[in-house]
Amino acid sequence: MFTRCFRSQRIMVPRLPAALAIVIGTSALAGSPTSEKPPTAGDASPAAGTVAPPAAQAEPIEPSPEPLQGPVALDLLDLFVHPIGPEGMEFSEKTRSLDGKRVVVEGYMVRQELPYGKRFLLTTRPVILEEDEMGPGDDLPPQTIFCFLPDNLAMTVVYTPARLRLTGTLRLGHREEPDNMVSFVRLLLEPPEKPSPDSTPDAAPADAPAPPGQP
Amino acid sequence: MVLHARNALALAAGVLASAAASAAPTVTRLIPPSELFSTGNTDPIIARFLPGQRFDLQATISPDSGSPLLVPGSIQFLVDGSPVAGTVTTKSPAGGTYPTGTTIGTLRAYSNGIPGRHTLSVTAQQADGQTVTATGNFEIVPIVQQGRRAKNIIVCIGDGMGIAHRTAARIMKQGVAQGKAKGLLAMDRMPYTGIVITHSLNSIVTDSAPGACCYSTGNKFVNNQLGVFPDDTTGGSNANNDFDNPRVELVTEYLYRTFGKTSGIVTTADVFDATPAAFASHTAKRGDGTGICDAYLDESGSTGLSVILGGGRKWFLPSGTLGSARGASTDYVLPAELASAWGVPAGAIDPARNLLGDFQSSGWTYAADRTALNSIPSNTSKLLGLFTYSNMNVALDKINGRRGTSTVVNDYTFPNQPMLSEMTTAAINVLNRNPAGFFLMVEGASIDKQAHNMDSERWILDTIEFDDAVAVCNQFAQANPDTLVIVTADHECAGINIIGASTVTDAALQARIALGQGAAQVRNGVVGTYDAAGFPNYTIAADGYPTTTDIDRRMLIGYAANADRYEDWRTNPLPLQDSQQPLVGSAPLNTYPALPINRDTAGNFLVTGQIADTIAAHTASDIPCSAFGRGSPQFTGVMDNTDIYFKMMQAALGGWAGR
Repeated sequence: MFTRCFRSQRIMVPRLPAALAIVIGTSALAGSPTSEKPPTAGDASPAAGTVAPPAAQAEPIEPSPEPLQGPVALDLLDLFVHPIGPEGMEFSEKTRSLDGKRVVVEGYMVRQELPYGKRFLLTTRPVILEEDEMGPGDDLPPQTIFCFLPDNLAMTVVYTPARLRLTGTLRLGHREEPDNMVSFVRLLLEPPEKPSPDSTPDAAPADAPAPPGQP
Repeated sequence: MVLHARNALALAAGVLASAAASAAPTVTRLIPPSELFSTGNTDPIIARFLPGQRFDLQATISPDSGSPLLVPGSIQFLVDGSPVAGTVTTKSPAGGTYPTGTTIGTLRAYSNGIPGRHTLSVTAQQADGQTVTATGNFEIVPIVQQGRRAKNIIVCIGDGMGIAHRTAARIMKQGVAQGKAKGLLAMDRMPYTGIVITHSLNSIVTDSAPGACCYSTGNKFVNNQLGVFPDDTTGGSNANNDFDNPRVELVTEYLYRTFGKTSGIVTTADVFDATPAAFASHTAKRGDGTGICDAYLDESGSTGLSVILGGGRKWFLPSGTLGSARGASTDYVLPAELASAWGVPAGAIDPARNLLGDFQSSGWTYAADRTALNSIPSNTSKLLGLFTYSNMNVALDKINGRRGTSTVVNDYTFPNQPMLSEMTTAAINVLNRNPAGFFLMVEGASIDKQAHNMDSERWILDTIEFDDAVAVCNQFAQANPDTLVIVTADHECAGINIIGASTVTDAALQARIALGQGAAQVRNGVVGTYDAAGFPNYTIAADGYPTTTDIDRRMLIGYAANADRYEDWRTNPLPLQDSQQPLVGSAPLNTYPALPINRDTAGNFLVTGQIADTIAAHTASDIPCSAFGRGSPQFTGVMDNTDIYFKMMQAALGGWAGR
């Protein structure tokens, strides 16, 4: 699937893939390209194909104190004040203003060695996290978001290399995760919408190579 | 699984060593490790130490089921049959299943000044009067006084750098003409070279922890463990179990205690990473970043640690500060008996500690970027440089950032990172202020990390970056002859070799890739072996790196310890570097997939890996070692990795007759 997607990008500018990186069982819904434009800051309407009905939203970790509103686009590169100073980072004003609110972000799922469970990391560029070999020594960009699936969904995460567009509720603040990682930016994902015919990937040509399997 | 097997072996040996009946206590572990204890064979000697080098003695003893108690105070260690003076403290095992009453006896900070082989025995008595004795051995390696000592020692570790990594870097940077290298790397020009055996205590294939600790202690350790022998309080959620293992005195501790030499660690990785941590910390778990970095400061009174340069700022910020990775589960507190015996602070579980502030208030100068590093006060005696939150960016991305052809370092929000040679220069300038001399470890960390990723151009450029740092060290040794420079690795990574060169131009290669016909187009007619390989010719820019790595008829790399990957031979692109990418100019800029299996797929040339992993692995291959300066003639032939430590210390403690 990825081979097809990657090759097709050459004639699909500015097509961007958009979907949740969630699978039910082993059937990945992730990485399905669509032809919609990426949302811009201030968008008030839900992004098609990524937002579940409000009634279906789950809050597995931190209940939202506010009613649902349309997601606001948040660029990962704008999470922090630039340039980063000599010590800690600082949330940008926009990031702080979105704490507890619905946002839509784009980025790449970090490839991990250990099982994902119901959490994965999203960051600005493709990165391999060699946590089994290297421990917490990593090549993660600072702009990394911890993304959590709703607890009440029988879903697990599998890796996908595609650029992802995710919608959920943003949570800020220090928290030590069960695997000893420390999170500061979390995204409580909304359940995925069922794939529509419009979001089905292009059919592969008859002579297309077999897609690489999930590692 | 390996540890269990070793325990079982030790258990059997313990039973054999006991003269009592079958219902007798048994010794399941005796530290330092030895073949005599494990198998009954006197050779090879596993544990070796310098005269006076401190190490802990430890034994795990299980009573039989009928008398599940040991007599308090009955555990005794004997060397060559004579009781060892000192206090034996006891504790219970943790993190595994042990018979009721199993007791760990430890005697801290033992040392022996008599060269030669020694036996180590432990005896214990259980409540019903039955006793057990188990015996192992160790060796004290003599130091011969024979000439001028090496005042300064610099160990350069190209992490994962096998012989082919060096060859590839030489071909790319210097080129070859009619079979002759047009030039040599700095490490090639060092006068003495040998090869090093790299196995660890529990595997023929080492990881970076024991791979570096052989140089910092002279001993073999278990993978993932730093400056400690294995024990029976591992695992579980108690991080303290990671820091109570039997210690071995580090080279930094020994040289600071005996000669007052200060020390430094310089790396392109996160500074808590296994290789730098091997020279200034003791833990059974290399991932305990909070405790490791705390110990850098807490125990600097023992290690003489005065320079720390690399990435890893995340461990130095209070846990509530944005970007901090500090946590209680990776922090440390030492047992009181350990802290007392070794004369070090006990530490504390304090993830909210402002470690960066503590360094600064302890007199360390802090540099957050290249500009700050290059402008530190001339009288700086302690230098901390933390240039990124974790690992630093690799040479290819740093150089292309400086050239303005890549935004990767900007994407990481650390656009002003120094090169390893600049960090090395700064470290030497600071350490050289100590009239007693210094010990410095310099690591090219991402040679390994990018070899894992099978990202050929990135590890080759990191090898070139590492070699530039070696050149700085050699220049210093040239001007300061009482200096020994050793350049080696900790292990080979990825089973790398140079299989030949492309027979086509880059444009032709791209055209073949675009067809997506796999080996028929991307391998056949492209991979030139033997005569067809010719001599790849890279153009080197004024900054010392290739103007481009996507040349016509480029060098081609193969991987023996490879995971499945697609290969197209081209430099793994960044959007601004690759017009083939459709999203050039879009933000974020990089659309390149993360995994070898997901990378380079357009050509559809799948190379099936031999290992069931997503990235390449370390190998057991021997590695090269080159040396220059005082005592360097020792570093020839085939050497065990622990031999490097004793040869280095011969130069530092006993000197060398001649250069």
